[in-house]
Amino acid sequence: MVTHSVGPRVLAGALILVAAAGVAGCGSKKQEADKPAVAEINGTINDGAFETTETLDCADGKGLNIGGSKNTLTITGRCGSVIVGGDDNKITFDKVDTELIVAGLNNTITYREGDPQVQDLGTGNSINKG
Amino acid sequence: MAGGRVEDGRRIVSWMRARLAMVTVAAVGIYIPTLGIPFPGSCMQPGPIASAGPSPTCSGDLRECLRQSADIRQTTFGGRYVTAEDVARCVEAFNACIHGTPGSGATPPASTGPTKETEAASLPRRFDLDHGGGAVSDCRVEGGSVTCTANWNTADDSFSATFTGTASGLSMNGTTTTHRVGHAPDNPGCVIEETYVGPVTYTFSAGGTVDFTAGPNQRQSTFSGSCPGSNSGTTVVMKGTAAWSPTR
Repeated sequence: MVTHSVGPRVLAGALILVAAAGVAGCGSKKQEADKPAVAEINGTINDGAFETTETLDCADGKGLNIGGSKNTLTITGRCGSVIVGGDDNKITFDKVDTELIVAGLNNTITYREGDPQVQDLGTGNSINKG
Repeated sequence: MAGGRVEDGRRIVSWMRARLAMVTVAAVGIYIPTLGIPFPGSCMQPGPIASAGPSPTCSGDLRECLRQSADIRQTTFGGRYVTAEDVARCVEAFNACIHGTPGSGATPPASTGPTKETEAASLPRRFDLDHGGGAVSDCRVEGGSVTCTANWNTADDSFSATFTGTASGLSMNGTTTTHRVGHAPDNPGCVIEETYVGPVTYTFSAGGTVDFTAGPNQRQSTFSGSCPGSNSGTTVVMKGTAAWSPTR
């Protein structure tokens, strides 16, 4: 299960895109606007939101990809593999089991449980267990 | 008159010394054409979003993929977001870049060695080949094709090299073209430009080494400055060992 509260700016942005697609009669733009910033795809939660405060649930071993930036995220449950590609996020995990790859920049990440393989491929990241 | 003949003789001796040095350098250069070299390009699948240019690492490619996905969804209110599908696509390409095979974020990570695909091991989609001396090639595998590029300098010379070929399992075969611009060691005024073209075969091991067989290479040398002229030749077959590692 994924629970999230997308920030008003994201919602406003989505509405603006839908409106623009309607005026222009461009089906492809409307399709783009209908695509959410957070969704589970093939057992992995993908989050592309910006500047939001969210709570996501990895449940019992789902993967998690963070592609957005400047978020404050609370991740409950047990995550399998986690990849953070965004920047300037503050993320707290209950548990990460398999792997935690951070490719973005300036993220502050804390996980309370688990013994994942941690790889910091970005710069300015803080990754701690505690 | 006699003085002129002496001067001519000195110039001939100087010219011969320069040529001898060039031949020596060319012989040493036999090793150089074994280097693989990549053409600029991204290991990421750009999908519907065009890439602004290559980034030096898979993680850099991921950040660029996400940034561009966000940019095209910039709203008039200044809000930005990336669709979940775009996140999944960018991460999938990232996984393919570092692991050599497509995968989702839920896929357990591969080791730093070659990737196991079903029964046969294969090369990762992006890796470095280190021949020593600063000659490190950036290699990319796309389908069965491999391209590598490298640029490096020594005290007297600058080199660029490209490898194009095919990969099968833990081997790759193809053609390397290496270009060298430099000077004869004992004649700084003599400018040398050389191109080597020849076949090369690489056999990779999981331990991070790669054995290669290179040549024979066709050499074309052009001399300018104080030693104008040109010549060409064929080098012998060389065997050697280099180091390799997946690019992260």
